[in-house]
Amino acid sequence: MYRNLLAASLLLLCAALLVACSDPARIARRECDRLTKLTQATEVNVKRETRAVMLDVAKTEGKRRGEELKAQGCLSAMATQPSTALEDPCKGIVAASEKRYKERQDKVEAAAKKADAAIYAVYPAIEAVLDLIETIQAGAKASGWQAKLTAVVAKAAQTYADCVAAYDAFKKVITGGGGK
Amino acid sequence: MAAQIISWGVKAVKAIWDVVQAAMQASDTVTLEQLKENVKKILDERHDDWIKEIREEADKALLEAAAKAAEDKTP
Repeated sequence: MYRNLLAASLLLLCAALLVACSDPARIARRECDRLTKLTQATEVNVKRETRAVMLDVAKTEGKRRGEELKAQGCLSAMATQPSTALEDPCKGIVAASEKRYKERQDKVEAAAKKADAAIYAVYPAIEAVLDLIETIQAGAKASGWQAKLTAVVAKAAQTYADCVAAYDAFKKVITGGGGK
Repeated sequence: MAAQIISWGVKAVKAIWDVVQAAMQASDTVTLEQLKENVKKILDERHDDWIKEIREEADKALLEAAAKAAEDKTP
């Protein structure tokens, strides 16, 4: 008798655990938490890597400009003047340097902006999931709520996948591996 | 007797369900409200100027590096 009761209790416990773990709203909330953390981490990486590469480009180009100016006998102060204020050949050196620098920085900036836009598209998608969960938890379980929840979670997951793709493209650009 | 056993069974089910719910809530690292606040904060704190700020910092670094290299006495 007692053995049967114990077995029945264990069965009930397992069933309750199964039901609780498979609650769609709970699964969706966990997914939102995960996506938020991953997106934030990607955002931090993009900002940190953008800064590192832009400063590196600037320092490398600056060193090259200074050395070229020195080799041509230009005054060192000219290194910090705009090319329009200088005479040839110093003007030419600075102008070429400015062009190289701008091209490289524009490329990095464009890739960073694309990644940034993809990152910030994830948050509203997560918000949409959270709003729906809130509505569901408030008791407003309209017909088809599970399908709707699955759809908004899938959309959030897709925006995160797009964000990862944009981050990969950004990485290719900053490592000189491509990008437009 | 049978009614009493059923009553115990119902009580046991309820107790088990309460324990499972409490365990589930305890295992969650963040509540729905916290998640919503977190996302809202991220969006509120967003500013598009971060790239511009980095670029300004880079422009300054370029001029400093150029001046340093041009003034370097070593051949």
